[in-house]
Amino acid sequence: MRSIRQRLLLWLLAGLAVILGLSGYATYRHARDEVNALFDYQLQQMALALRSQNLLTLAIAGDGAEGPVEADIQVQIWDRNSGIIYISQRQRELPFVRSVGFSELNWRNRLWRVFSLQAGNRTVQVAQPLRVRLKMSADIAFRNTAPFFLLLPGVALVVWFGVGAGLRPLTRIAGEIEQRTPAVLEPVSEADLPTEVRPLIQALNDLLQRLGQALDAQRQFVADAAHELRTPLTAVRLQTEMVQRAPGEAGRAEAITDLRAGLKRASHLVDQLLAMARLDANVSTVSRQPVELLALARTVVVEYAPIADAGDIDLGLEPGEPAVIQGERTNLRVLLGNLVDNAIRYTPAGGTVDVAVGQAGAAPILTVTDTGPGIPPEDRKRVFDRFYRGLDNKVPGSGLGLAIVQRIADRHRAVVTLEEGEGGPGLKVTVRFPASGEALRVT
Amino acid sequence: MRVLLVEDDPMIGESVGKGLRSDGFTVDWVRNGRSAELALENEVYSLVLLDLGLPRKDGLELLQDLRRRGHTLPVLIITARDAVPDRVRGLDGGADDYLVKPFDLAELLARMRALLRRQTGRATGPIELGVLSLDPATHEVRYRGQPVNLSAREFALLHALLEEPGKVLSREQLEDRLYGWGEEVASNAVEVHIHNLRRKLDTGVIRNVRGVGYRIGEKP
Repeated sequence: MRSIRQRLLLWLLAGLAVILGLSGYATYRHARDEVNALFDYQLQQMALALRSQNLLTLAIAGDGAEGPVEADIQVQIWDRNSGIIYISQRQRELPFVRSVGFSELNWRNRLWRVFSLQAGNRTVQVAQPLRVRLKMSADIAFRNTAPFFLLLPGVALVVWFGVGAGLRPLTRIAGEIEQRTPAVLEPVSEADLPTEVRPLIQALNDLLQRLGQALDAQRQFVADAAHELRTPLTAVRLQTEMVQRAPGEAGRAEAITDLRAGLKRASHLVDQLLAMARLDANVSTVSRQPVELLALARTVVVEYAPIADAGDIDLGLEPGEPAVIQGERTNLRVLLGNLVDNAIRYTPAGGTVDVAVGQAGAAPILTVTDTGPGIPPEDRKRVFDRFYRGLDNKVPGSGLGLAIVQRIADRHRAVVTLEEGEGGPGLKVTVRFPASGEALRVT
Repeated sequence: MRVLLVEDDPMIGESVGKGLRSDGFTVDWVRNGRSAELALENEVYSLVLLDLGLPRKDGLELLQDLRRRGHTLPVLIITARDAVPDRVRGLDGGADDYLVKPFDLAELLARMRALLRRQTGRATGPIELGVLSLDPATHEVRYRGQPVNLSAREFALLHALLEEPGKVLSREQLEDRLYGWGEEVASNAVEVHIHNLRRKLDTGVIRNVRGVGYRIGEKP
């Protein structure tokens, strides 16, 4: 709630006041010592002077004998034979102090500094209220310190404007940052930055850059997606027209079959785009859990069995040992589903698609092997690119399947490799998960 | 009228091919730039439908090469690239028209007819020669004011002959115009169609130049 300026002002003023208070107290202590020494000396000198003084002179000198008025000194003289013979102020007579030299006396709630001197039959006792000394010390201390307190408002002004000037770069930066929008994410200028603010701005610029990249990727994806959606939509539109133009019942039935295939393809692309978008959103809330790959493979094989049957493809799961990995069950299912779906799509009727779970050393692996045309080596890198659909591709697809597989594999720190199918053409896709000892984390 | 369709998407290629064939065109369909190049060496096409995002060789590159070699045949680009700079690049690259996906077959056909018309120097409507008229848009043929019912091949044959009246087309040239790849052509197919046309119209409408080929009669 409080601004840096207010905070600084408060702290500086409070700090200064405390320091001034402490130094005032130190001055007071010092002054008190000096005042004590001074007055002690005065008391002593006075007593020495009174030792042999004629009482008559004293009487004539009257009240003047006590020294400076502010010193407030009380003089009392006793004679061994006739008792008290002189008292400077009768109304505050002090008792006789037996000890000789300096002593302190508490008399009627007042503290006195007393000097007592024995000279023949005479005892001279000179006393001064301690309060006088303390007051004087306090006066000295106050006179020395007070001017500095008068400086405080000045200091406050200096702090107020000084901090304002010091914080001006922040105002400029705030102005610059205010101009940033999702469309304008240029870094904030790092010229003329106070050293203290530089790390903040650098961190902010880093953030802006990453944000910009993420936004660009998102924009690119939306643009790509819109572009890619055009193709199946064009097909559907043309197919609809073909239904209208179809001559006769048989022709119409054929056109409707085509149209249905077109719609299926369009919705497949939408599904894949959605899967990709979900992966891109990088929902780290997806919980990791132990996933048994063999059971997962069985589920996926069962799921795709009807599709494989329809295409006269022999889809099967090879016998293997269960292998457990830490992973995102739903995503792993999407990964394997995409691989199996691809294999079925590209394998001609009468072909085989094998799913297998195994171990390569300590690493669990998942393989999908088909007897389709395979992917030429020069194409094997690019097929993982989004929307890339291979050379001379005659099978309709979204171009996203392997990109999705790659994304999910990355999230599991798994490596996907493409090879020739065993003993001839075809494709063997291997997903090698990190060995169980290696830590898994979401990337 | 033989058309080369260059389109890598199987569904779109299939549909456009079917649509064009049902409209009487003869269609050869290739799915990549390299094959398109090979096909174009034949010079039998009246028009090319060209997709831009092609594997092996980009459509635009293909088009520029084609124009550089001096080919003037009409090229209609069909593509999903709809940005203005793309269109400009396509048209400046030598395309005669530019159609953005998704499109209607009807519009594609209309644009193709427009291109073919311009190619033969006509502005609109049916081709007329004496008492014979042929409308490429409606497939209507009239002879002495009476509508004549022709099969798709007969129509295409007559269309080819009417395109350049007076020019003699060989049997092979006519076969090329009428039949796409993989279509079985009976050795006397052209003769049979000519015979039928003469029967439906008039014997004098199509003249035989013995040993060379056929042409449209001077005064049908």
